[in-house]
Amino acid sequence: MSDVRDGVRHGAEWILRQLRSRRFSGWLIGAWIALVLVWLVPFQVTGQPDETINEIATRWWPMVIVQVLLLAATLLCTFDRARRDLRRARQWSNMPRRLVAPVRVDVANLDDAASRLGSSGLSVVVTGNTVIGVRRPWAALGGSVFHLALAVIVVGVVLDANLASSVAFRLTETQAVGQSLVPESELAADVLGTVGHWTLTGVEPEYYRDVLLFTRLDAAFADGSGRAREMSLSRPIWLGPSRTLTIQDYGFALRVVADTADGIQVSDSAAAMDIFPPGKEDSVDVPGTQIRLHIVLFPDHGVVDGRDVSMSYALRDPKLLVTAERITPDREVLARALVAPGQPVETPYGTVTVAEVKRFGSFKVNSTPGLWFLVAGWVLASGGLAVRLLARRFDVVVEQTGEGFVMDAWLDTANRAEALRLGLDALDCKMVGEST
Amino acid sequence: MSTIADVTYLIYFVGVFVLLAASVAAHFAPRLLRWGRAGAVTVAVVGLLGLAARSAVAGHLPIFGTFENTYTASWFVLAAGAFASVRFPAWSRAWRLAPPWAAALLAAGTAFRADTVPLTISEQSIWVDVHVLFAWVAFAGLLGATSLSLMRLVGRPPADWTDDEVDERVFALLGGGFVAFTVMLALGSFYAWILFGTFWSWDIVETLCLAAWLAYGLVIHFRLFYRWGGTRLDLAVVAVLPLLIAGYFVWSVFPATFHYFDVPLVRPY
Repeated sequence: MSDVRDGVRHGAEWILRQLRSRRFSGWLIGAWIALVLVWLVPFQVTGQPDETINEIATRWWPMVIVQVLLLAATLLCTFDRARRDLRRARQWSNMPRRLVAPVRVDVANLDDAASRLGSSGLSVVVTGNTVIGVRRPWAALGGSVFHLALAVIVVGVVLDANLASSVAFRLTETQAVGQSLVPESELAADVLGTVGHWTLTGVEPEYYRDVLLFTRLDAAFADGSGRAREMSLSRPIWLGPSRTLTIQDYGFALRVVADTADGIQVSDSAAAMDIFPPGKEDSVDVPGTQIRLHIVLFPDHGVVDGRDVSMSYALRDPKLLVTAERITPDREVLARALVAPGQPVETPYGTVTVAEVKRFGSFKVNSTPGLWFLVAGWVLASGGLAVRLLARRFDVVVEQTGEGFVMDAWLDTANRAEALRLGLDALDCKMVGEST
Repeated sequence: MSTIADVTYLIYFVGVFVLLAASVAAHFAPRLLRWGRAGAVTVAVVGLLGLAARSAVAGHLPIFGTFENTYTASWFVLAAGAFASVRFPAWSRAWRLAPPWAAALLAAGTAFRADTVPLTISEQSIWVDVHVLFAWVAFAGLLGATSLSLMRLVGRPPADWTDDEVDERVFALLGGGFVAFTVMLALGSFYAWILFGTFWSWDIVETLCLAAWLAYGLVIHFRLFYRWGGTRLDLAVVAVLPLLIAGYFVWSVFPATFHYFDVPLVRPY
């Protein structure tokens, strides 16, 4: 029985040892890259939908296994490493150092060596017949900070995946957020409480010349107290520490009025249409009638080679190509006409009028509880990495021996010649000869 | 100003190819080394003026579309080489690392639309400017490391450096490039949240850049913990190059990405 227990214990220790080894992390990173190149990028290149790509990246079991193992391995490895680096940083003055290939130097005595190293900006301690100098003893901890920051980022990602939410809505000019947003969820109700009384006062797109290149997409709101709140696509309105109101897109909304042949109004309704860019057709059913309208909008109408076109994307001289059809299986066309807003389209059942063309904005309130974990994680990761890779620890040891004074130096990954050269620079003295 | 932008671009273009010829010729005529360094500085200054003139014409930093990005990338690479040559005595021949990349980038850029257009709305942010700045700093550092490795692999390191010294310098460039790459990813991630409310999307550019970042991270681990050096280090660094290039420029040929900047100028009719 105890043999089995020992076997299990040894097995668990072996697994833990493998998990915390850098070699295993290396294999995992390699495996992740291979999976991405073989089983993710080809799907991206062939234009698979975003949902499929996300599914592969976050839920496909080989990817999940590699990612979970990589996170575990990184944390275990970092934990080990951080303890060691912390000890080395704190105990730099009394850690045993084995001189590898020291050189003889011409310092007068140990105090002289200590003074020279101190003048070069090193922290110095004299113990017995040895002077130890060190610069940036904490540099290696940058690596631990970097790896732990990756864990902070993962916490942010997990929070983001589970708690982040967004509420999307469309508003036409002069419409209040509360008129558009139905509080179907807790967040929606929350959003209503925050910006429910805000009114959209304008949506302003701008293009480069007459081509489809947005150079501006601004929106302005009047908040509950009437104060103007302005935003653009790249500059959202912050509603809280991790919540923003963004504009995503814009389009055109139509107000459609239906009258009977006797002039009695049947309905007056508004609908946001998918009729942008010009030439795109969308349809809307007219309430209270059996009529469906197919509409093409020319926001800046003109005629080129006998064809109706839009001369630009701006809403300057709008005309609508309206096709009215009966909502029956035979889809009988009742009328077809090019009209300006306010101009009625005659049908056998009465008139249908697109009374108004207005712009609408597509907005989103994003709430991301993991935001500051992610930001903090990225800041720590970048800072830690910069410290680890750009500020390297430098150690110098001067020892009094029977043949005089010898010096050895270490500079992170630097070769010995480079480290010794910097050691001589720090001591501001010359090498007398090789140590025997 | 438009004429100045065009003329400086042309001079820069020719200058880069002359430098390329000089860097090859310097192998046979070492006296060209000093002239080449002066030439690299001159061409880098001309390129900077050209980019500044183009920015003035376009009304934004030259970061929009493949033409501008290859122009800017080539300048960053060349300027980094010229700066290192002048600033650090040990790197006095570093200018030779840059012309092949700068020339290839410029040549690739000529296949794309060169006219100046204003920045589209999603790119009009200081976050984008800083993101791109770090992207090109990272690119210059990582290409520098790759160049050193390639030159050693073919038996022609740019200076009389020992193997240890080449290892050190490859690692220094890798380290600097990797830090800049990390900051670039961080800024891009934050700006993606500002725009879309999400930190990450499995967009092909982001995916390939993440893969390249991890691959460089792996190489750095090999160097730090397993003391990889010499041919092994060189092969590892060079092996990541396709990922780096793909991550940085896949959008030029593959439009289905958020990072597509060769926006077709579609008229409404």
